[in-house]
Amino acid sequence: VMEPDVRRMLKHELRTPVNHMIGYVELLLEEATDDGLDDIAVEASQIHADSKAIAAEVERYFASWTGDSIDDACLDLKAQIGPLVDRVIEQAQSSIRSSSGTWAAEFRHISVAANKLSSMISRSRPLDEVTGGVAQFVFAGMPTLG
Amino acid sequence: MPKLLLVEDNEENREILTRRLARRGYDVVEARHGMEGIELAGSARPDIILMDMTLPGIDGSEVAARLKANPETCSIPVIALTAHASEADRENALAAGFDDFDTKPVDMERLLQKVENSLRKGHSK
Repeated sequence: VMEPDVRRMLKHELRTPVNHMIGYVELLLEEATDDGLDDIAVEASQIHADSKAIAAEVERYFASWTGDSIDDACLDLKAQIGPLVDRVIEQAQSSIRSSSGTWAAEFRHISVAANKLSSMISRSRPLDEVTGGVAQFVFAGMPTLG
Repeated sequence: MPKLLLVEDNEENREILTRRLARRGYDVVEARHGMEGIELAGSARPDIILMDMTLPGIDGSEVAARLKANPETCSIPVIALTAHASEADRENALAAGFDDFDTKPVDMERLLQKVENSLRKGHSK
């Protein structure tokens, strides 16, 4: 049985920046480990652990989500994963400041993705403005929310 | 060096996967949408294709069906990549003609194992 469309698409929208965080930090870990840069690898490892924890929480949340309200989902998720997302942003920003060149750019990718996720769960901008495209379908299908 | 065609519309996902696969010795060719994927499957002659299932325009399932219907590309293994991880998603992907299926976020070791298995099967045909 396929997942209900709204849950499927909202989860997809929220998972996309989480997947970017995980992907970029795993790439960074591979590169730092190969280059023997232990300090960079340690910083990246903390971000990796937090990003994986965020992904697990999002999965757990949507496994039992009733689909009543997108706003409520964002509020709940902000309470559950907000501190972790903030910690990733802080760590990435700190690493940007302490790194140089390519490494700073790599941490910037992570910071951008984490900030995008933070905007989504904070609803500081409508979800469809943050993500473009798919979420518009979600809102079109749920006109009473927003 | 195996040539791998990556069909992925999301810029960040494309960059991450391209760089990680290149580090593992793959020659990665990128397509941003399904039509570009079909064109490059014919012109670049990849050994294997990794394809996002949710693509703008024609989606991944339709692209896979067209590739499998074309005698020039039907033997190229195609692995579906999707953020949707249910058993129904997997069954739909295999029914659409994909040779294998994997989920995002990518577990690199698992994905590479699937790529290598598909390449081996392709060569033994």
